[in-house]
Amino acid sequence: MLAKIKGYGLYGIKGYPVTVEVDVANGLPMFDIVGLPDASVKESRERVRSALRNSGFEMPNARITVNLAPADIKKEGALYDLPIAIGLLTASGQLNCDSISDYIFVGELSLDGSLRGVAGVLPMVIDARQHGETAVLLPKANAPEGAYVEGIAVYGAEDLNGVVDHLNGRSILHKEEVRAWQPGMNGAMVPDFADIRGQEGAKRAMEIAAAGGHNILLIGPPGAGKTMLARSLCGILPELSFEEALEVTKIHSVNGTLQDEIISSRPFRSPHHSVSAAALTGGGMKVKPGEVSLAHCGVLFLDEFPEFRRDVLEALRQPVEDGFVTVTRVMASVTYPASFMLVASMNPCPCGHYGTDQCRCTPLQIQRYLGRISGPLLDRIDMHVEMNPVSFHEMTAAPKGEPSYVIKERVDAARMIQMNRFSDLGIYSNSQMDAKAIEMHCKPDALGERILKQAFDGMNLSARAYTRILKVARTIADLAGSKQILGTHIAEAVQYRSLDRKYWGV
Amino acid sequence: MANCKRMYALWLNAIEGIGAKRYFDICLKFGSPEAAYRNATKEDLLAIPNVGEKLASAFMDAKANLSPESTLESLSKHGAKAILLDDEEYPMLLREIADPPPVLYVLGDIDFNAIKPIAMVGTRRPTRYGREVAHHLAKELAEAGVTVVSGMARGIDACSHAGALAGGGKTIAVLGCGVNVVYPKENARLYEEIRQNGAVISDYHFDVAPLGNHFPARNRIISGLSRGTVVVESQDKGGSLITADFAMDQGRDVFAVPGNITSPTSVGTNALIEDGVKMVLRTASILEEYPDWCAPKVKEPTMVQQKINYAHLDEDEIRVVKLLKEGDLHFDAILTKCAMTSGELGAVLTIMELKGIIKQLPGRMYCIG
Repeated sequence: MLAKIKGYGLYGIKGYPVTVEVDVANGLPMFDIVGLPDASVKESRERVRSALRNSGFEMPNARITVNLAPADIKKEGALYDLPIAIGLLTASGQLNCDSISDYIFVGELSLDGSLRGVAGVLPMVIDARQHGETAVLLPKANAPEGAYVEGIAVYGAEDLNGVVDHLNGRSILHKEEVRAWQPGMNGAMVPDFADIRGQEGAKRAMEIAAAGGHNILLIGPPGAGKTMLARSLCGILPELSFEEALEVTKIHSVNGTLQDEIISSRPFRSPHHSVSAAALTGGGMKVKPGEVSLAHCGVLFLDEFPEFRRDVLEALRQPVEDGFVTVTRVMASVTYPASFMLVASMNPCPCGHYGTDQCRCTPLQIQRYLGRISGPLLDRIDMHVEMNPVSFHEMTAAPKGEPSYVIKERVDAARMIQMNRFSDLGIYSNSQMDAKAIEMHCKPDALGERILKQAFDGMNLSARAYTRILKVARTIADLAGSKQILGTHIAEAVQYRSLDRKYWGV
Repeated sequence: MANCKRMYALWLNAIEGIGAKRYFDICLKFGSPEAAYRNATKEDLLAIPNVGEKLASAFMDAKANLSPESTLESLSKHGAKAILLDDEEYPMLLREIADPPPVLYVLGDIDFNAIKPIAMVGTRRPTRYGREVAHHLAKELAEAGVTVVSGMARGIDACSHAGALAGGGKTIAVLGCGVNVVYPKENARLYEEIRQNGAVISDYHFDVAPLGNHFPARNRIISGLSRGTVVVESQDKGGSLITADFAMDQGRDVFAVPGNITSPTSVGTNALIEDGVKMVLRTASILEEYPDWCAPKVKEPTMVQQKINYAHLDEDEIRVVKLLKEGDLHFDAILTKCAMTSGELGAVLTIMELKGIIKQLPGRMYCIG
């Protein structure tokens, strides 16, 4: 007998329907799974066999063929265990349910028949709902995740028997309540700007970076507070919209790191500088999302920027430029979203104390150190800011600065201006402006033009700095609520191009 | 001297580790470099006091493997000149010292006996003060027609050469390695400019590396070439103090620039002044010792920080200037002491920098321009 059960698979962060066909026929006993199963799918055989027996069912002694359609897409993961088991029971007559095609089945089976949670449930349920499916049967552990999706009935079962009883009508499972979602619910770990002592100059730079979505480089000796400042950034970025929250949650769900809560605050990722290109951008054996995707809609913090390997920094170019990564596999390529704010930090020189008498670096050492960060990636960092270590006096006596929520209000207002400005351009922030947009929106007043010219002639700024200064000035003007970019906005923007100064390496 | 005789001199000088003293000892014993080349045996050499196994073996090695013709050819290959002790072009001031180098390799074009040479030396890790003073003095000396002599090391040497070039003058760099070896590497551009506007010289043969023990020896040439040596900044121990010692031994003038008594880089220079060398407070402190060189300037622009003209500054700018007069400050420190927001201060500082009132230093520090 042939049974067709609805399952689901994952492709990147998108779910797609998989039809699990189970054929139980006469012939020499064998159990084959076809449809490009990977190793864990192939092992379903053993799990299903034991789970069936240990749940009190019979393992049919027949020629069993399982096909996972579409047959030309590689199937990965243990999530087909449940649909295969249900298919087997149906095809062998041990389960009779008229409404079986109403349900999507997803879940991993333990040998004792209990259902284990799997990764990527949220994108699958979302896709199922979009396809017009009406109900999904999940492992209990995954039910809260699925419950965020409105318009589809979500059931969570403890084990195979639970599923069978529900389908038989013997014991209906509890239908999950649709869960509401609130922004900012799980952002406990973010330091507040008020807790950072001193560093007012750097804080101002972060505010501008947050308001315009500008990538920023923090330069300072060890202990200056670069990491703390980077972490605080999440506290002043605008709240995630529902769409963004969903995207972020899907990615983390696929990564297998989702707790049952939807992610409602911006992710903060800070990979160590020994990270490989595959771990950073995604790929490797299991095509998991990389750090850049896990930082989607959030902040990617690269501490000790010059210590990252060049090939790794090279791999960053696509996501920083395009906002997504394409990870190529043997059979196909998967695209993961990767749109984030980049915060990089570095010492001013190998020993960290450039400019003071303590610095023991030779000019050649400094040049070589700075040389490691030059190039196309630096081109995509709009702002550089130098930080000094905070003195003891500042740490103890300085008044508490503004709390994050106050700064966030200004950032939100500036972001709103940008939304309106770019509504038909398809971008969301000043940092995303291309040459044409800059031409249109970033004309400074006469004083501003003069200051810009003077800065180039007098301060030895490089050509690379020109568009950056205009973009940042646009954000500064937005924060000040000014439609016209004034001289003071340009003058301040010039402050954030430290690395373009020629005093490095002198 | 005929070319063929010269090549023996070059050959003898090219022997590894020979040095001026032993060069002349050998010449004395055999009569001339050519005679030494042709006739010396190892025993003969070892009989000379101060000539040991190492030098004797190097000599015999060179006799076997280095042809005198090739040393002559290497001159044209590198576009260099060789000046021997007896040549008319040999700097007279240098000839006077106790152990003048027998051979000088020269890249560039200078008439050593028609210049007004002053040496400027100092620490390789100067403070901003030292760099500015070295540059300023060298520039003004060059404008007065002086040729600045130094060692092209990083730090004060480099600043002195740069200042002299900025003053439109010629400058001489004396190296502790072959004249074709650029050391330190980061001064490559300076090296080229000195070749064009002055000379790069050395008593070491081509390709010889800048070994540590070469530098004290070359320092005597720096002071020996000059009528006086100015030490700009020095810690309590350092190569520039060695150069000052040489200058004193050679009967030349020594000058020193005073500095903060709390600054480690002025310990050496302040000690020299304490011991009686001439204190340099302005360029005239040096030039007035050489009235035969130039008429004393009627009024010299002072190096003392000028009073700032507040007339052209607005309220915010005046506030900042008053703060920076007390000392260099970081952006955040300035912010705590004035009523502006971070953004406003950033804008004001940029504009002040463009006007030349202040300067920005590494670490977002600011100082009066």
